[in-house]
Amino acid sequence: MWDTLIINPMVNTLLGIYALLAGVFGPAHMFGLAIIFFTALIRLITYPLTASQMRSTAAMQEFQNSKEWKEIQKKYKNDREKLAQEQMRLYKEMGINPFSSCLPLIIQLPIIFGLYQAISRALASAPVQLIEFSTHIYPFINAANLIPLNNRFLWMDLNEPERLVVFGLGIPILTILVVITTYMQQKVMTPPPAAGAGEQGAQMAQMSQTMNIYMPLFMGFIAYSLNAGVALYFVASNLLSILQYALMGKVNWRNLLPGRAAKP
Amino acid sequence: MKQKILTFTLLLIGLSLFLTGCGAQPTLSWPGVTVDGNTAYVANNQYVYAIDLTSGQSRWQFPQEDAAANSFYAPPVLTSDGQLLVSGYNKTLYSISPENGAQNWAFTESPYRYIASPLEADGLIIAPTSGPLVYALDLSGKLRWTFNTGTTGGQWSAPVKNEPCTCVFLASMDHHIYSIDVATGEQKWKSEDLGGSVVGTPAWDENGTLYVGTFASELLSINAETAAINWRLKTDGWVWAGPALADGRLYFGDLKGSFYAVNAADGSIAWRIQPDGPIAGTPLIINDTIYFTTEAGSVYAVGVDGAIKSNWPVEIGGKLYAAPQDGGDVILVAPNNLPQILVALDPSGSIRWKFPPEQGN
Repeated sequence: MWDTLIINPMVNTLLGIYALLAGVFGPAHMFGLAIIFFTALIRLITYPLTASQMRSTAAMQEFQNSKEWKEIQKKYKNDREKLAQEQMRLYKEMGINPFSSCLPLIIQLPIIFGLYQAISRALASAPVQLIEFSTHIYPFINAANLIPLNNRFLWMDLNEPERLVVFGLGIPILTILVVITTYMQQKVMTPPPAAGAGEQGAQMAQMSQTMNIYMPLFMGFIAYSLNAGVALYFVASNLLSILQYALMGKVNWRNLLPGRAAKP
Repeated sequence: MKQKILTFTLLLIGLSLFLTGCGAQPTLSWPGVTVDGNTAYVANNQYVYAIDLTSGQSRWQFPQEDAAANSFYAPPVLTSDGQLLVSGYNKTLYSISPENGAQNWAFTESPYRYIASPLEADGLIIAPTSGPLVYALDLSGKLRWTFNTGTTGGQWSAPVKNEPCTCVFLASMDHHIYSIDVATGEQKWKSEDLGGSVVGTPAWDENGTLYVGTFASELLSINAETAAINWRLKTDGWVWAGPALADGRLYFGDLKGSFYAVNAADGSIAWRIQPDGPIAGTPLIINDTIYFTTEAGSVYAVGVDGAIKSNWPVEIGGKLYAAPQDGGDVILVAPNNLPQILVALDPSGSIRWKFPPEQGN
């Protein structure tokens, strides 16, 4: 089911993009470009989900900043049960579904995992992996002509963890880029906590701060451990995500400046 | 709050393990078996084992210490001066003693991994890599020459030497066959693009003809002198392994699960059968019986007329990719995805032993 609905269409789309690029420009470096275009295509397809998620996040932000909610928080600060009841009432009044910002993200998660797995499988670097990969290819794709996929991209072997050797020292450039772009993405896209949002707001701010530190390191660790093809996908995905938000006018570049408090 | 951070951190760790472990495709070994006298040398996952064919017990394993960073994909090779060569996925070619598994030397200069077995030819060890390079070493492991295909395809199968020629033939993932002069490492010829990768070692006959299968779902007959294509035969699926040749007939399977007997002279199909799964190993021919394995975990014994022998196929389980091997009075198969890495079968189709033995045996 997972393979039929998610992996197979993705693997074949990726191969299709590679075939197109290799047909026009020749195979050199084209699998790396195919990963970038493929990531962009998936971003485009999932745009309605992203937009819906952003609308829900904005509505929630509006809710957090509303005068009424602040007053309710003040009024029932010692009665958690009542506070929760009032919160639900206010959600209803403002037409907010508290789960509506999570739902698009949850729907996108299988797509993200599928995309990651499709790239990993296409980079089959050993016999059993290649046999397994061959079972995902649709008959109308001329796989015999495409395989072996040209796994060189710039200085990288997309099948191996990436290191740029400078004076005998292997520098993980892609890992560094993954850490930086993940950090940037989080900073410019995470909505700031509402001023005077109380204990809940402070908790969210602390959580967000923790996430801003750990998430880039976590993604960096994965990029360092896995093959360069996956790390390239992470970088492309982060940059495209920032670009997408920027085009929607939702990016706050000032958040990147050190010492600046997050502003709505 | 601390609890939330802890939960979040645990979630990250879990996700990390998922992505680096379960999410990525594991690098699964392709077991390889070589037999010498009463010993089978089995390269499987991180180790090479010497297994006594009478008792089914291990004599030694290499390396003795933990070798998590390595994996083996091809049968070990015995050299004329008594070395056992094994190609490591960790970019190292090892020479070990067949007697006790002690390491003689290791060649570590390749920037590329080894997937294929090396070949000993005219006193040299010809070692293809998964990149464009092929190394020729002397028997002490010193580099003599390097051949560069100039492509990114890599070689996944052992080269073959056609005796009248002072050359080796190299099948490549880059869709070509190369003929390389053994003494100098110079290219004699390069075939035309065959339409698909060639993963299996070519078969050859004394008339100077090579037979190869390709991912273009074809079996081809190629003139070993001129690289001219004599005939092409269309198959149902990708042809992974090289064919076996006996009495003017080629026997091979494809990844769609068809098994063929083809007349070598003209490429006409003598017969074909449909076993229970894809076939990725070169068949083994002993007397008038053809043995082959399927991905579905079965071992078939078929007569030269295409009739399946009684008591066969034998279901071993797991996935059988590697070619069966002649173990004297037993047929040896090396399964994937099973705790047993080697199974010995009687010609009658009964299992004689498994290594390691199943619990309770």
